[in-house]
Amino acid sequence: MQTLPQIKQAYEGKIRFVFRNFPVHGDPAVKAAEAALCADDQGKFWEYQDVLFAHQSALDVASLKSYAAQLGLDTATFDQCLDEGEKTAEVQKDAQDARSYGVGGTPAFFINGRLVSGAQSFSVFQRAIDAALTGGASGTPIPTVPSSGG
Amino acid sequence: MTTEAQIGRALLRTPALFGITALSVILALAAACGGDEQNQGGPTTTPTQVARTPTPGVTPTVVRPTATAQPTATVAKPTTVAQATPTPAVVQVSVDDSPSWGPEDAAVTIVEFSDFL
Repeated sequence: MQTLPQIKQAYEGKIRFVFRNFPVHGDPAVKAAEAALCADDQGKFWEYQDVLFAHQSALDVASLKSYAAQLGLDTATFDQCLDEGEKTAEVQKDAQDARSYGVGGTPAFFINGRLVSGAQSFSVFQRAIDAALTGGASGTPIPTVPSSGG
Repeated sequence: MTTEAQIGRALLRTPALFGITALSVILALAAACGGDEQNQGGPTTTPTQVARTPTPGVTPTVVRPTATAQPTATVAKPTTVAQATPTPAVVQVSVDDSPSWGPEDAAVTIVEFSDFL
């Protein structure tokens, strides 16, 4: 079982999970990130993300558009969003913020502001989340502040 | 009255003898006063305290004062807090309107930075 579903199952209602893009693997990764945000405009981000992870070897533009069609998205809107680069600035902003936070690779997680780098096991997240829930050393709740220009 | 008066009159008649006598008296008085001044400092011996015993017939115990520690200035030593593991820094991560799930007022917020490759 993957880690994220485990986290969601174990802590449903107790945690908020936010996804931000940090494409570090070239243009295909950037375009896939933009496509995911285009799908988010139609309320299908998480479903579209699952499809992308399932097809990591096929992330060309044509494939990205076909995945949107498979999920029943409005393809005209989706294609326009992707072709006109409506999400380019947002993806760049995510990447810029990631670098400013000290993120050097993917995936990277901030649990109440504390960095957890790499694909960790569920137990690692469990310890960090439990400590944050109890206000322990690993996580004092801090407010998240919107960044400028976002 | 006879002998003392005669001696007094004799002294008055011989100023030199009177002066010597008066000087001797002054020196004697001065010596006496000097001795008193030396004793004004009080006893120089170390005082001892005698423990009073309510029971008759018991030999009093002499308790000698012990040297008391002189008050010394206390200097606060810098303390170092041992940390078993370094605590990672807390970063205020903005979330903007990025895709998310879970209640916005959740006690724990996880922000993932990732790509799809």
